[in-house]
Amino acid sequence: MEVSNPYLGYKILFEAMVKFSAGISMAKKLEEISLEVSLHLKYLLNFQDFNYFFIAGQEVDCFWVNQMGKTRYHTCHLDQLDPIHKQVFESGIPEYNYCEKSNTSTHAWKFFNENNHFSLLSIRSHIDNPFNEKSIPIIKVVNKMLSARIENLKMIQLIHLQNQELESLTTVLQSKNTEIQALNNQQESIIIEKTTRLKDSNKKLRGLIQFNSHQLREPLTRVISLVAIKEDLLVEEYISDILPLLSESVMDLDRAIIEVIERSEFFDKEEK
Amino acid sequence: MKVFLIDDQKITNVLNRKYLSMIREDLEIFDFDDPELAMDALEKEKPALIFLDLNMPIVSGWDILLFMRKRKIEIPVIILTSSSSQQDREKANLFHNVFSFQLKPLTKSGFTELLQGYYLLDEYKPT
Repeated sequence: MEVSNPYLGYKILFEAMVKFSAGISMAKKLEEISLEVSLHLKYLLNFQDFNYFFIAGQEVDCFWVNQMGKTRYHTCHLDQLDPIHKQVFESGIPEYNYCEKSNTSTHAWKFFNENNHFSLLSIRSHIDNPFNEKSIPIIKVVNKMLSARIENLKMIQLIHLQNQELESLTTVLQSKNTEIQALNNQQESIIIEKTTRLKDSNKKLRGLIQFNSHQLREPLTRVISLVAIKEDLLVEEYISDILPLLSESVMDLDRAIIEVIERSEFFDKEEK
Repeated sequence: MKVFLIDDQKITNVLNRKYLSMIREDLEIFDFDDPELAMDALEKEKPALIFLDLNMPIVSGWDILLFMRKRKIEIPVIILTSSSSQQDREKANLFHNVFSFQLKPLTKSGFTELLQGYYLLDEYKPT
């Protein structure tokens, strides 16, 4: 792409660069990057095939565009790169070769980007419309733009993924919370039931104690009175009138004690 | 002067009768081990004082008190019970004809003090 007027040349280049940059920025997904490249790159440099590889660790995002407007995006492993790109990646030295059979030349570069990410860029051009080495600064800028945008999109992708994970974790957490709540409710109702049973049994026990104490006290008070009245009576009168009553009351007391024991045994059985 | 002893325990009635007759010779003492008979006799005999047990089977001392309240029978009552329950004591206070709440056993001195302290059965009560 040669323009005779240098000013006009720069203007065209500037506008093409702006469009390329705007297009790349518009891409919302990695898949859309190739399309944007195919729309705008042809105004910046001559090429038949354009390859761009964004390398993060062992993972490679591959973008391909040809001059006919065909595009492709896929990911692969670092080992799956073709020989020329692998060679450039390993040596770091730009590569150039010419194929006489197809009359095409291939240029390939490796770039070291921010955050330990690499990229490879290659251009295959036909002898009729060759890649101009003057375009190398443009290649650098193109790499800069692409790598920045790709990294940006990958970050968004990662955040999106983490959000999804977080959401699914939240769902799990919510369901766990519901389970815990249900368990708590269950526990609470068990406690209430047990407390009620305990209160009920306490009430019964209290009733039993009151009943028992009355049962015992009644004959006991008779015995006390029957002993106390001795002071006020003649011995003969006491023996004839009171002693039989005393004996009867003592027997009543004994019976009452036996009954109390029986009742407490019955209460024990009922509680079990 | 008539006095009612209401207690389902015959022996208690015998004892109380002995004590009361030791203190006062002029008393006409009626004892009931069946509270229902006492209820029947109340209006007819109109005693001047009643010694009443609380815990009795079938008809309790409370039933007698309620019966008297219902019939508007205004006779002083001394509760004589073996129950030391505070609840019973408070409940008894709600009957205005209950003069005293006594815990068994009540011996001769107890009866004497009770009758003197309340001027019950006295012809001339201080104003």
